Amino acid sequence: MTSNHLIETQPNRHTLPSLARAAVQRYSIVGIWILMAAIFAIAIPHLFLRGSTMQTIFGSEQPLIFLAMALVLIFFVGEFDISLPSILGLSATLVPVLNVNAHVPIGLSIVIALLATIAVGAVNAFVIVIVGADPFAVTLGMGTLLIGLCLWFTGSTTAGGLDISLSPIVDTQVLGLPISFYYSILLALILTYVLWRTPLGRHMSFIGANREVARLAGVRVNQIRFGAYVFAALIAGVGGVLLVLGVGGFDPSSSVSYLLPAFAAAILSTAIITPGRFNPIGALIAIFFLETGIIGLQLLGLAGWVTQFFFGAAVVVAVTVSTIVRRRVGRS
Amino acid sequence: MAGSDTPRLSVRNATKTFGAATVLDRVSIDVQPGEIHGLIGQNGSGKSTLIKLLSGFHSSDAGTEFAVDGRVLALPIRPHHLQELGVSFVHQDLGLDERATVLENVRVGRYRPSPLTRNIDFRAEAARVSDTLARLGSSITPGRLVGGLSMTDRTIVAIARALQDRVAGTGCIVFDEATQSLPRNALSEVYSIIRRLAEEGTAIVIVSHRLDEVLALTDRVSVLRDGRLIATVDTAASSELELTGLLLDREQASTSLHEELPAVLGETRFEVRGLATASTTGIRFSARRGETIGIIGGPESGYSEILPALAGVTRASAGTFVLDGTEKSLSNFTIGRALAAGIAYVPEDRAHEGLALPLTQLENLTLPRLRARSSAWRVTTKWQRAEFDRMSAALGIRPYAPIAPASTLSGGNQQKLLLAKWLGGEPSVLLAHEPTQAVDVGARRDILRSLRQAARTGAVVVIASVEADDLATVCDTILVVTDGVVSQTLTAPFTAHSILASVYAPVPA
Repeated sequence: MTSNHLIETQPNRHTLPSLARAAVQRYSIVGIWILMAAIFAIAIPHLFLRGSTMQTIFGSEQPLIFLAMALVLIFFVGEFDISLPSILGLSATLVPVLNVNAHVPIGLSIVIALLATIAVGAVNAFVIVIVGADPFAVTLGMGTLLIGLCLWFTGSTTAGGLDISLSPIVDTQVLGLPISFYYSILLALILTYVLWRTPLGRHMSFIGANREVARLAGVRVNQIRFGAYVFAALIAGVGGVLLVLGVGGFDPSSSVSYLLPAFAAAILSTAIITPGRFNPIGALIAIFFLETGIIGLQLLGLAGWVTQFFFGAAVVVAVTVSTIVRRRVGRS
Repeated sequence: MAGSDTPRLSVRNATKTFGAATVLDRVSIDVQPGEIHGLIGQNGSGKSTLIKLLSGFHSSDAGTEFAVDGRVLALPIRPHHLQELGVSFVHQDLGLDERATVLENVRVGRYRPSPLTRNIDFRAEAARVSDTLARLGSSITPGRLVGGLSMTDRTIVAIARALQDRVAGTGCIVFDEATQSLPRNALSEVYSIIRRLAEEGTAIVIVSHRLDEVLALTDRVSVLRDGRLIATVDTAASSELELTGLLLDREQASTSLHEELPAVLGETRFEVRGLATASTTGIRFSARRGETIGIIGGPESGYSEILPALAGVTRASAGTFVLDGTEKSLSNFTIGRALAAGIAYVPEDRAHEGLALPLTQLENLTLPRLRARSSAWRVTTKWQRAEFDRMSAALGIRPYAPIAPASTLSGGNQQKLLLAKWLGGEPSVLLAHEPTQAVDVGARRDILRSLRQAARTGAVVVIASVEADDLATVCDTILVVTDGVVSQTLTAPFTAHSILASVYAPVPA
């Protein structure tokens, strides 16, 4: 997906060990994923090797993938946005609230919800990029604020009863998986193309690596940072819309549960395929890797606690590994 | 030198291998009490590795022996053991926390708390710091924030930290490129402090790439090349020419480039009128096609504000420029407008403004031309490769590794890459701010030659630098800035001495 083959860095040393080291750096998570799947397949073949298990692993992660992509976009330009899960929650709440409680047509509800997410992204961007406030503090506050707002909209319950006429947009089955799965793959591919193949993406990676260098090269740094917050919010918003169209309702307080997995996937992406850099395909692989682990462990009979334990452990391991990888890449 | 046969610091067979590469090969150096000993070598010569072995940052290979006053250091070397024996370091970045006070920076790790309550008596600590600073002839208040100090005072604070709690005349202080960020006119104060410490009997090791500094300050100089000790020479009997020869393995003197690359001057191409910045006013000069212009001045003269204003990086308060017959205002100039006009700016701070070190060399090289040379929706790659091959050959960027991170290059090669990044666009005006900062002798030569070469292809090259040597080597015209105005315009031929004479003893107009 990129022309950056690390093994080419030393043309005179195409030795087997250096190829192996590059492979380990790029594909170790993929290897662990395959190994893990193999262990589950051997231990519990009757449970793990069923179509329904595959459907759960690959088919039910659409909101998480949208969130992880939004985060990769934000991290890629060296920014930070912890409010993205709440922005997803905002659109997933607004659509049923507008449609069911306020009798707004479903199409218009969706448009309003997406405009709201764009507005939130723009507010974040204004305070962070123009005013210059700390992104962690701003988006932590914004995220909490939005959850409160959504609970007010719904009267602190689940917003439900959505018009299901549009649900085929999301849950039509294609090759055994809901079509929303393919949307999220498409999103990852588009984002990959933009980040790795366009001048805009190259400029973004310079902003992420060294803002001043980008500015001195004539890159419109603040414009692109502003745009990243707005686009990331929109991606999360679309994710929320697709989520609620499929399920028919949403509990605003549940958006927090997407926070850690999305961060885990985005951070893990720096240890997959392009060592040391955030990348969409890596995040996608990370999500399937994490989900395989959790589903497998649950099928083995481990209870609900395993989800949080596994996600948490993955984040700790991921940052450790990616830090080491980045240091290696920096030195190599 | 003190009358003892035992060297203060003795290095025996210092060797270090990383994998298959031997970066330091059986280097032996003695430093006597009271001696100032220079350690020079190009990037990659092993001089930093040697210091890192001594400080315990790297572990040495078997056979390496370090001794202080005849006492052999146990390996691996531990920092507190070095401290006990009186070996301390002043590193390039000085290692100071700008947000903390002088006292906190000097005393960290050395506080003497009350045995019972662990309470630190800050009045007594401040007195200790003041005593140490007084020994260095300085009266900095211990309560001041380091961030508010001049570079000279920061260096003194770092020396004070290395020196404290020690009987005068004992121990050894290693200055690892510590004078790098000092303005030239502040060097004499730091040099006299170093000399005074040596006269008391402390052994001093100076790691430096400034040959003039080594010549001015040291008693003896050890030259490293490719990990080996080439020679240890008496400074008094040596010269810049000889040392350069030892460093480079060839007698390549720092002679002017005017004969090798004669200027090809055309009509007047670039004219600056009435430029005013924070501390300059009425700066005006004109440059002909193919001319290389130098700008120099004292640290407070404002000479360093001119290039950023011409590049749109900082906002000028007044002024215009004419380039190829088109006049533009400088008071609302931006980076984008400068680039569009064909003005390229090589900034001073390589690591923070020049290159994105984690990204690849190729990406760094082509960044300014990415949008113009690629289509909007796709980064095309062929021209990037071709450009990289062309520029890396032209400037001698080594090793050839387009898709390795820029951080893998040595300092000199990073600087070449930075220059190539802006030369690659074939600018009409190239503004280079301290283009040879912190690079070794060989890279410096390559960089100066490329600047001169760029001028010969028709560009106007403007170099702002404190390095009078470099300006003498490469410039056709030199503007001397004093108190915010151009006080003198010198034309070639000139020497580093004649330039510095104009800077520090300006002729009244």
